[in-house]
Amino acid sequence: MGPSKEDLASRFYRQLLTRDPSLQDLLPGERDAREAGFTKGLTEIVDSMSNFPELVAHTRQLGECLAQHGVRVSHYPTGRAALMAALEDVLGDRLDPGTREAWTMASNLVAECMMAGASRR
Amino acid sequence: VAKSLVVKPALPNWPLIGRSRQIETFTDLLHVGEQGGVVIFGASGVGKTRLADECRRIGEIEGHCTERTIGATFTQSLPLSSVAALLPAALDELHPDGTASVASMFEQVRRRLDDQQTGRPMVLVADDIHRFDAASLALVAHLVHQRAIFLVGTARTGDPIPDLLTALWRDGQVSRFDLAELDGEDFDTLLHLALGGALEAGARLQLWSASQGNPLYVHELVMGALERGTLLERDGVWHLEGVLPRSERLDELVAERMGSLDAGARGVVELLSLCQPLPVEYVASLAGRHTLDRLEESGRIVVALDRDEVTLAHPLFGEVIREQIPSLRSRDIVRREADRLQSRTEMSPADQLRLAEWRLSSDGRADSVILLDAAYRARYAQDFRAVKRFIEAMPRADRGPAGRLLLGEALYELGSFAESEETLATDEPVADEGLYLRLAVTRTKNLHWGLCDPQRALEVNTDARRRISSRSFIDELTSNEAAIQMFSGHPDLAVSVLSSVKTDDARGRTVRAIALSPALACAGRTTEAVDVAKAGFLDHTQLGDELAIAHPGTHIVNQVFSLTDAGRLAEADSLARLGSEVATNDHVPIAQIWFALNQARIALLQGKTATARRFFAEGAGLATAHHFGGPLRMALAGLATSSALLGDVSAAQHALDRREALPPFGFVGPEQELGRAWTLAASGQPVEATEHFLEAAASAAATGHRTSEAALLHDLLRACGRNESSRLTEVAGMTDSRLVHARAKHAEARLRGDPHRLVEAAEDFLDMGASLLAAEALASAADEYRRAGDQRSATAASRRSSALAAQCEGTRTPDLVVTTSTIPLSDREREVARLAAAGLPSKEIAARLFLSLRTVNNHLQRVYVKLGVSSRADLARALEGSP
Repeated sequence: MGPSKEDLASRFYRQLLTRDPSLQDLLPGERDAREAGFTKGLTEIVDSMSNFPELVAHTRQLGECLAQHGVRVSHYPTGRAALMAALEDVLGDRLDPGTREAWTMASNLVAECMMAGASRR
Repeated sequence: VAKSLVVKPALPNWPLIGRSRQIETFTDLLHVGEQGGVVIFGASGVGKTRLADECRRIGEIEGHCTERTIGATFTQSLPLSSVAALLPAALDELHPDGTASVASMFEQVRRRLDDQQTGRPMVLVADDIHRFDAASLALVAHLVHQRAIFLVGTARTGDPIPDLLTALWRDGQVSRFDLAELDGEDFDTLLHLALGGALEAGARLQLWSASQGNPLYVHELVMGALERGTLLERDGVWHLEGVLPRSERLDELVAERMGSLDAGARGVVELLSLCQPLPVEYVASLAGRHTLDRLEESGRIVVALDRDEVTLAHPLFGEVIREQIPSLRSRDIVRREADRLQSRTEMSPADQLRLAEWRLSSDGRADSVILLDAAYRARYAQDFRAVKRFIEAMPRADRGPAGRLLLGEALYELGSFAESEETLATDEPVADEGLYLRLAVTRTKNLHWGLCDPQRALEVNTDARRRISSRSFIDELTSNEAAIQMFSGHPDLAVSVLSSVKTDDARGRTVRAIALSPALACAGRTTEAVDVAKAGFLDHTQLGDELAIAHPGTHIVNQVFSLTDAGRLAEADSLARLGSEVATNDHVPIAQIWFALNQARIALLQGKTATARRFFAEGAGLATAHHFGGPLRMALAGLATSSALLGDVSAAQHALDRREALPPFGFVGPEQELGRAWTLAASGQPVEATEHFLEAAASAAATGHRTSEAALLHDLLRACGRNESSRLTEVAGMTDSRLVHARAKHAEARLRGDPHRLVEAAEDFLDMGASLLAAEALASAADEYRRAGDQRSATAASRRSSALAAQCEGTRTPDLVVTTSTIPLSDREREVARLAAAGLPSKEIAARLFLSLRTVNNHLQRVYVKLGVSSRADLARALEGSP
């Protein structure tokens, strides 16, 4: 994503709230801080991709943390859809079929790990 | 019965996927207390018990005491046996005179549970609760009503459900979960998490077809394959070699899911396991409509009216049931079906194939005419194991040249190269010239690709041409000669040999295109190369079924190759993706390998280096599994290149070591040398690397590999800073490839130190989607702008370079380093800096670069000043930190 990361964060939240305005209540703090947090979180996940055990441990912890803030399993499909739509916004033509497939697979894997962390499995 | 009593073993570390929603609901219900439990419904193997055990574990974490019990068939007659664990130790306590009411007994159990607990109900896992005896079920229902327990029951869909249980969720006392098989996405996630890495596409397809997303089947298949070593990891990608093994436990699971059947139903299931699919009316006439309906309702068979077919509901059912049928009975069934089929006046091609299969399996032999015919059918379905089986079942005398041809080809495809040569190389006279030609061509293919002996292949080809008289056959052998030349490293010879072939028929043009397209691409005539590949594919589709000719996908591979060399990366990418999907679904491993290698080549140019490495690894794994030494050599060279570009020198070296052990393989031979050259450069041996690049480039020039020569000379500049701009410009003048032109422009701009022209080259690369090359050109432009004192343009170029480099998946090339220092480093300074940062003492650097110690130290001193650092450690950090 390189320098488009910040852009992705703001588009993600816009997509998320369009899909489910009630999520506004769950979102923490100031917009800037929240978007910076999202960028940081996503960067950490992408950086840990090459180290599989670390990726799993990291995302589980993240899921547990989100659950404590009231994030529910039913929010995950919304979140994934918002992420994919935001990627489409930011990447445009660069979101070729291969990239899309990779993000879809990766986001499902990450979501499953996060949900497992949320239920302390 | 004894088996069903065994508590299913927990699956340690095996991930639970796609069940988070149910787990969350369970946790909510447990907290709120509104309902007294959940009952999990689903087919066997869908993960009911696993989910129930997970609920139990969560219950424990939440401070509930828990208990687990199981309903088994034979205990149904013993009252309260299913819930024995909940009862007081001495039953006498409950009814000392044998007259105590059931109600008071239930109350005693409830009070006892209450005493044990501290305000939190016990979580009771009741596995197979639909099999509980009536008294146990009544007690459980009572305890649920009283909220003395929180029930987690499992029940199998299709089995009879007692009314008491139905009443529980009908009255809202418990929630009902219905579990389904995993969908494709969750299936992928499960395997990725379980294996800790990616699975090759063909292996994924096999596991998916066999399991249909049933989690327990997936588990058993994967564990079985791991145990027997058929599922193995190569370079981070999991591959499946050979067929999926079945375990005893898997057989038990399938048998369990089949359950008990009456004689009529059993007959249908057995018949289908041996002879499916069968026409609906036919099966109905044998067993009766009612039996068919029952089997369909209980999920054991599938009746597809649109295709007029009855099949078993799961692919594993047939395999397991087949083995349980006594062999005499199975022979009789199959023989009866074969007779029925043969008595029909018309048989479809599929029927002919089945007839041969059935005759072979029931009688151990079949009519040679039927077998040969079936072998042809199997050949066009790419089922080479069946081809081999059919031909080998024929008496030798009956096989004839056609049988030999089919067998020889099948042996080649199955990787038995020596046997194939033995089958094809006899002196038996062949009257039919067409057959003779196909035998010769197949033999050369096996010699060239299988036994890696292009020289012998050429001899056989020349010999065959002398013995043949038909003009078009001679042309075909000439095209074949060109193909051998092309794929053993001589595109120049291939082009000149083909100039004499003026064939007019579709087959002739098809065969010619296979060699001509890549030869033209290598020669830098990429537009023609793409057109020839396209026309070749169209001609091929006109041919129908033909023997001794490559798979039609070859033309698509050629088109992808040509598009890549032309720098038309986006087109190449989408076509390769499409082709790869088709090759995987059609089970054509050699096509899968070529698509993987071509996708890797494209990704490498796009700067997606990690992606490229994965594709090379996939290609290497497939090539190993299917015994293709040549493509394996190419894949390993690519692994070395991509690893070196990612800074993983030891992986690069390992790939090269493995490559050394293989016989030479000439296809784009010079380009393969990029692997060693980049590895040498990445391991701090710039002089050796330079030499290697130059040698390979010279050999490319000598054999007409123009696009490869350009790649080698350009990479020489990128890896070692040595600029062969004039030769690159010369090569560019001989080709229409945009990529080669951009490479030449880049080198020339570097030589002149012209920042504007460097930006232009970067734009050209960017137009093609070659982000890494664009990032490097922009980094050089930034240096030149700085040198010229144009700080504003320098910053802009540097920023664009960093943005592009960030898309390159962690690629680290020398040109990307140090784009932020205010005073740019010279090429020599950069080289010295990199070696010093890698920890080499000055003396060693001097030796490697053939410089004096003083010169090295002078360079280093200037580097320190320019970068504003004072030690080697700082130097490493300064280089590491950028871009």
